[in-house]
Amino acid sequence: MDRGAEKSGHSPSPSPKVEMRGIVKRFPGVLANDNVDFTIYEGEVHALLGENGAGKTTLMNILYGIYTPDSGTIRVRGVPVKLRSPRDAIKLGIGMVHQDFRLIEAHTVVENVFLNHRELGFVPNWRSLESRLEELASNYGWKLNPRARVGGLSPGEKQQVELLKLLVRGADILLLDEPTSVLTPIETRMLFKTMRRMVEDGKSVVLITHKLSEALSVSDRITVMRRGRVVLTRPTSEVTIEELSIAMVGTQIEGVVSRARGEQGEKEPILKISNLSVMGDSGVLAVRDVNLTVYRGEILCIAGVSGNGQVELVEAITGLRKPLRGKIILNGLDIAGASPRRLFELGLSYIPPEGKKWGIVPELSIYENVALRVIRRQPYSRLGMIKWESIIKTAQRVVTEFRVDASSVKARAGSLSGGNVQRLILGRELTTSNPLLLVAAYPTKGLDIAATEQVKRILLGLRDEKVGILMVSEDLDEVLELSDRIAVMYGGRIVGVIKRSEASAEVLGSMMSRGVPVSAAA
Amino acid sequence: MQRRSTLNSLGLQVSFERRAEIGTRFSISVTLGMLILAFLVSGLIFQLLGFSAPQIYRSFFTTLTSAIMLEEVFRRSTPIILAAIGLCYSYRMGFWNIGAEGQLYLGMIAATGVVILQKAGIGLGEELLLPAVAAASMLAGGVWSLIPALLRIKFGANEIITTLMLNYTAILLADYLIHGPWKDPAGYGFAQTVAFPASSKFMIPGVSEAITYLMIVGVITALTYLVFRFTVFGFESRVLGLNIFASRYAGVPTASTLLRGVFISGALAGLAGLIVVSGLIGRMRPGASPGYGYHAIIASMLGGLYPPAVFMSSILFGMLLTGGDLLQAGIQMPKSGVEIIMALIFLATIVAEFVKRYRIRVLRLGRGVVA
Ligand SMILES: Nc1ncnc2c1ncn2[C@@H]1O[C@H](COP(=O)(O)OP(=O)(O)OP(=O)(O)O)[C@@H](O)[C@H]1O
Ligand SMILES: [Mg+2]
Repeated sequence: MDRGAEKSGHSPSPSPKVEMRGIVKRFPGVLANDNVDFTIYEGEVHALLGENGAGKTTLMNILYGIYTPDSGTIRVRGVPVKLRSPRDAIKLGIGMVHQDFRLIEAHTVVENVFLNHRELGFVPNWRSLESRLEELASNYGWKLNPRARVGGLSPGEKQQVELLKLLVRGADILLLDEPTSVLTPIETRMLFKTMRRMVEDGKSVVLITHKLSEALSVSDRITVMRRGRVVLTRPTSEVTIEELSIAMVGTQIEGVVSRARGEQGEKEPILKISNLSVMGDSGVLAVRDVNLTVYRGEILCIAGVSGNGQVELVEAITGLRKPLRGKIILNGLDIAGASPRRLFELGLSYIPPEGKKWGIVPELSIYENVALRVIRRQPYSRLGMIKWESIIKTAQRVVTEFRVDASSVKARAGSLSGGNVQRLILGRELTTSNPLLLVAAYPTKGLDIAATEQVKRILLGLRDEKVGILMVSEDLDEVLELSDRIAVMYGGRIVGVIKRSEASAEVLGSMMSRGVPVSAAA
Repeated sequence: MQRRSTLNSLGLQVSFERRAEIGTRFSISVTLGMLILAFLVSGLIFQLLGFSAPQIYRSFFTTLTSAIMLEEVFRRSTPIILAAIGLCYSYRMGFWNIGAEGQLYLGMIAATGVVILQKAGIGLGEELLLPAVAAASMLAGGVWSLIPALLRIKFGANEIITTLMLNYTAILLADYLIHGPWKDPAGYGFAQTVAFPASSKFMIPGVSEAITYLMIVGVITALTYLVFRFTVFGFESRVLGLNIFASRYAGVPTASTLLRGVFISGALAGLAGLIVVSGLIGRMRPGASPGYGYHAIIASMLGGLYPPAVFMSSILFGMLLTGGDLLQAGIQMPKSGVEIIMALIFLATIVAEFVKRYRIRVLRLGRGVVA
């Protein structure tokens, strides 16, 4: 991965901007932060690494005033502080972008950015706020329309809105929790360029990520956490990728999954889409006349810059959105417009994007969340009566097999770390069904390295068992590693379907960003 | 994440921050604390209005000290419990039904209709009168409540507004019938319908009226608890109320779940209406319900939509109504006095919910928060 801009490379100034010492945070049944020391210097990008549930988000939430530590001290610019709320943190110039976006989708960019802002006043002067916003955005090379509705923005743009929210409040210590997990390589590169710009201006950035290559390319220093403790803090120039992975998991991470496959029988289509058009939320066609076939025992990846109709296409296939016209044939049956429940019964499993929004009910316990999709089936219920014992048993299996890090299956799903939510969703979907077709949107989002490898292994295993897999991903490395064929979407159309052997990051990149079709070789 | 409002003129600033976690014990203490506060504040108001607060508190307690009083408390709690337990079904699904009062009136109307038919000789016979009035009142309340549910499903109409409007419609319809076609010809000119015969009342031999009711509502409360704990329908309604996206993904049949839950709400309110006309007052009159359907809203919220707690809070409302009657007779406190307390309890419930979710801090301006 190339570096967004040259690192300044200057040695850290002697007085740290933020000094966290001996931070302890305990949740019922877990020690999330165990005597953590963490410092942030002026003008540095500090990468924070660690497995799912290591305590990264908790540490940053403490610095942002969302949680109060059980013990430990925090100094900001040398002054000891007590942060009781994000408000206190913002006053001190600390800003955070969360793993899941916290924007109001129905509002415009400018409304979101200035919501609850001092300068909003009683009768806001939108003109001047808009021009301020445009100026700030252009400063970083962003092309954001202040009047656009946030709901219609791509993840990369939503990220920019979150950053602008912090910047207009004068934040100079930016905490970014897995900002790249939803970005395409191009968007990631742009974000890194922005980050380098910011640290050149004397700001400091904390970057949480699961991709070691990202940490190595953009950061000045790296801290690794494991099970609530800091196990390593070092300048980036002095660590290797091996050292980092050993620090994170305690052992070397196993090499890349072998994608070797069994014999390739005759091609048998499991999903056949013809002339499918789907309306988007804003009332324009999001999917235009798509034709696509998925065969048994193959992984077909849909690649594309987000916002080019992938989500709408997947929602139409999985019954969450009514198609405007066209046919969707699953295993010989036209399923266009069928309900998600019926599709699940017909053998279509689905891993949704934005797990916290679509995949779980945070207020319910883990085992109740496991029940979500299968509650109407035996042995989970009979004649409308729930059998909680058998659900709890399955939940325990999901939690063990997919290593969901939770104090018990009775814990609230909302208390899980980001990666563990994703594990729960994956585990539920794959443990409770025998799919013919698996539709997986960003299946490895937020997962640490080991879990990502595990999911890849599972996907390849299902493929070998003759399951058809339709996967949406923006991570080109992953796409190239897993797929048999790749369909590129641009402007709501499939602009080309290519075999993996004929694909490369360059070819895909150009198709994704310009929609230049390449003659399909099916 | 946080909101703020400024009281700059006082040099104070109040800020609200969302709490990350809400414990059960904390939640219960906040509700009880706010409830006590509501009683203290209402005492203060009465004192200022020239009544004796201790005397008022005492009379509420008297309702618990004699068997006769206690029976009255239970009788008056019954319609509130039924309607409030019914509302749990709506509210758990995120359907903000404030139409229990109207559904209750529909129950009264339907039951009265059946009795009038019976007296006119068109009916199923004396033995079947009770099942007939029960079925009619529940059906009427249920169907009445389906109107706003369908309007929401079909047109996205806000149920708070539609249910409220239908309350007025139902009450006006009842008034029209009482003053018009259903006026009892033998009623000496009073605006009221014919009396309900004994055979239309719930009665368990050897047990008093209050205890009979208590047993009925006890069973309904327990069943509701079990529905939410152990049935697919109860589980799916909770999911529907908590996360509409996840419920679509999970394949919860949104429309049919909503319709079923709202029908049950309306049916239980309708049954409450039957108990009012057949038992509590014996016939339909203008203003037959002193607002049981509204009391039920407060009771179900105060009980946190948890059936046993809703049962208890409804009994509290029964106490207030009974105590209010005593005060009216004893110290000429107007009927609206009790309504002040109820309104304060409602406010307290809302404040309690807020306190549970947000931490409230008052800061002095200029001092900052940096310790
Ligand atoms: N509000 C909470 N209540 C209870 N437990 C919590 C809460 N928040 C976090 N935890 C627990 O604390 C631990 C650390 O969680 P944290 O979110 O900090 O992990 P993380 O390093 O950010 O992981 P990920 O990479 O998956 O996002 C986990 O075991 C998690 O379940
Ligand atoms: Mg996290």
